[in-house]
Amino acid sequence: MKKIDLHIHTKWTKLDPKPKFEFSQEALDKHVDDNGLDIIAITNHNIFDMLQYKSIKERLKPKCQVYPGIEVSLKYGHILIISNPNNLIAFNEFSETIKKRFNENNFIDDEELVDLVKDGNYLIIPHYKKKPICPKITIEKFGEGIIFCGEVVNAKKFSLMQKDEKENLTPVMFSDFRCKDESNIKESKLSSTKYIYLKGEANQFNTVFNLLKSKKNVALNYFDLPDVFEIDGGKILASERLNVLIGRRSSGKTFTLDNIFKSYCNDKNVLYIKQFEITKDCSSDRYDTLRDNENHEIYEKYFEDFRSIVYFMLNINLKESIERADNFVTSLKEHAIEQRTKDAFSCAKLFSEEPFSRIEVNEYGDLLEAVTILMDSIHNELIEKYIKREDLRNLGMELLKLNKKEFMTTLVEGEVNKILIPIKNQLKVNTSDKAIGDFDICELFENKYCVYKFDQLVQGMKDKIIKDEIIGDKYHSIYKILKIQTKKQLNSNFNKNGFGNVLKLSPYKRIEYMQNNKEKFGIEETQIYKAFFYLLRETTDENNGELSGGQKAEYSLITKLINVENYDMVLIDEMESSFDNPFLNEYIINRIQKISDKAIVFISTHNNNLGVSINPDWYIYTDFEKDEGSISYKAYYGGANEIELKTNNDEKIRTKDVLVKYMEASDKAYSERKEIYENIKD
Amino acid sequence: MKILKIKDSKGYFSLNGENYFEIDNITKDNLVEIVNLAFDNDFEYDENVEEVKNEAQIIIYRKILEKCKDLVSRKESIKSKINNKFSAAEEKYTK
Repeated sequence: MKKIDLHIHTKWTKLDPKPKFEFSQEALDKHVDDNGLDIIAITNHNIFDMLQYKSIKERLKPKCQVYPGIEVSLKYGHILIISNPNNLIAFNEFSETIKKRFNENNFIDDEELVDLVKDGNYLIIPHYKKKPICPKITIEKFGEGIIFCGEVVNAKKFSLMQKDEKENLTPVMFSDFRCKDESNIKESKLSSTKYIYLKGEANQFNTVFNLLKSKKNVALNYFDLPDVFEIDGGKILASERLNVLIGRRSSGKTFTLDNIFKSYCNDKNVLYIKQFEITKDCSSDRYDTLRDNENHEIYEKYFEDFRSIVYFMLNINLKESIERADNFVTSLKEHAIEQRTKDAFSCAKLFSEEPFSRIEVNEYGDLLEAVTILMDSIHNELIEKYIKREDLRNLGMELLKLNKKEFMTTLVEGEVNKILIPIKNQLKVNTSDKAIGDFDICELFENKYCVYKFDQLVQGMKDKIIKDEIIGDKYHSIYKILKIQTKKQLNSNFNKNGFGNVLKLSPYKRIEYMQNNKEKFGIEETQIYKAFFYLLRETTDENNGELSGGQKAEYSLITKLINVENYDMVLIDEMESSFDNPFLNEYIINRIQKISDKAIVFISTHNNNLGVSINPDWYIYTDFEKDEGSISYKAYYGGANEIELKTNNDEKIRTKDVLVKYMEASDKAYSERKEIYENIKD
Repeated sequence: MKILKIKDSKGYFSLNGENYFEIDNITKDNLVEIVNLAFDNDFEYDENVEEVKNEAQIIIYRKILEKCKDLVSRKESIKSKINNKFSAAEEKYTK
């Protein structure tokens, strides 16, 4: 068995998270050593540094094989291209082309990449169940058998893919590790633990290449156990469902959770609720800030379309159109009166000729674009369910013809204007007659009509309840969008004062006024859309009352757990410190069980509701021993139904003993409590 | 609505189809008002400019007629473009 991690970054690029980092060989050494990796690949974004690669390869020889690679940005998704180290020169040339194309376009065209890799015998691994996802339609472009692996984001996705008989690709999970110096950071002791095992003796690139062709050759743990993966550099096994961490104080539970978080936090889909975090979240200021942030997000999402309309309106220059109309009428009248005295220059027909209107009406372009999007969509099966591809193609062809005609007309008019305007200007210079001011009535019409539509839109916008939710069966939140009626509401929306009588102005005049005075008001143009409505969120308990401190904590926790659908992993550290048992039992346990259907869950706890009644899939028991001043940490693990938990060194402990000791205080305390309950039963 | 009319060898404009004013009295505000009228009204106009006797009125009438014709020929496509732009927002926020 070989441990492989074929996705490692050694150079900062603009696609990597900020801040910039410098490559740290020590960090890479530590990553390889902590995880005991046998094979790695260097895969920076759209760049390959041959010198750096050679130096890394030399340094890690012979304990770890290092393959040259690159992470290529396609229009949709990322894809790893990994080469045989014996073909370094050809791979370097290939990478130079990728770099050049990326600098030109910010992505590599699918077809070009297919062409570039066709003779390379490269190991090609698309982001498959990992963002940014490479769509299946792109993968198919490479042809059958060229791509046989897909990268996944975590163990759960790995297991699902491995079990899915319809899925042909071999799942692979790698660290996406950034080799940067973190010696100043507390978490530097932690190592990123994401890799897979490759069964068989993979001593060279070609063997790795061939082994990855079969799903049966990859595993998440040394023992090849199903649905179980390694954490903490392989020292602990964990379930891809619901894990409970137990152990005495300072035995390493939080350390283990931190470690898992570090391995997965790059994926941005990990929720980590730290110890006491919920309590902190309920201090008055913090609670308000958190709710404000949530409100802001909801408000922004709701007004997304309106914001772009306001931004569009702010780019209209109605005032200028009206000034041109004024100039036109004045000069037209003067011109008419002066006709009798006109000279040779003003007699020229072109002197009074009007340029073509400047309005560009792209009537068919938008439709054509829409049809193109439908035709190129990765959801072609869904689309074809309702619209035949043949019909779409015919519509596209017709639109293309019409669009071409419209384009030609605009082109010709533009060319005529190019000739006409300079001649008119020259005639104006030479004549004593007044030239008629240029005035495009359609431009004025367009601007006026936009203003009319905007005013009509804002006046028609209604107060609305945009969200009405029951949180955890006991809290009720209503989100209302209400028209701003008072200065106080306006000030509060912008968190600023001094907007004057802006509320008396019509909608367009209001945004125009705010735009003209944005420096004075200290606001950004992009915020002006907030000048009309505010969001009011009302949260009450089951008795319609305001929330107490404890209820705020419950509300905060449930809100967090409700929004976990987007997460692949949830880590919770001793949440019981903030809540009572009935609440945990009634509202949290079921919720966490459901979450574990979709995400990997780790809970650290001393509470028997969360530790036992939750019916976990897996236990991890952490402990330490002091020996002559030094401390050694241990972790026992195993399925929740197993009689014993064991360490990596096969030390064993009875599951029941651990649970009774840490969840019930001890056998004696458990029996005593049982007796007390029996006595007071009647 | 008839916004430009030729009668008794004189050119006139109107803002309501009932009251008419001589074309050489047109102002910027009248022109802006004509543009506003175009939102919801179909325009009609006399085109027999040769019947106007006053030289200055001919020039003004001809130019304004030219502008109105330009507007009439393009206003529906402009309106449709803008209506499209606003339709999603109208659907979302006003219903």
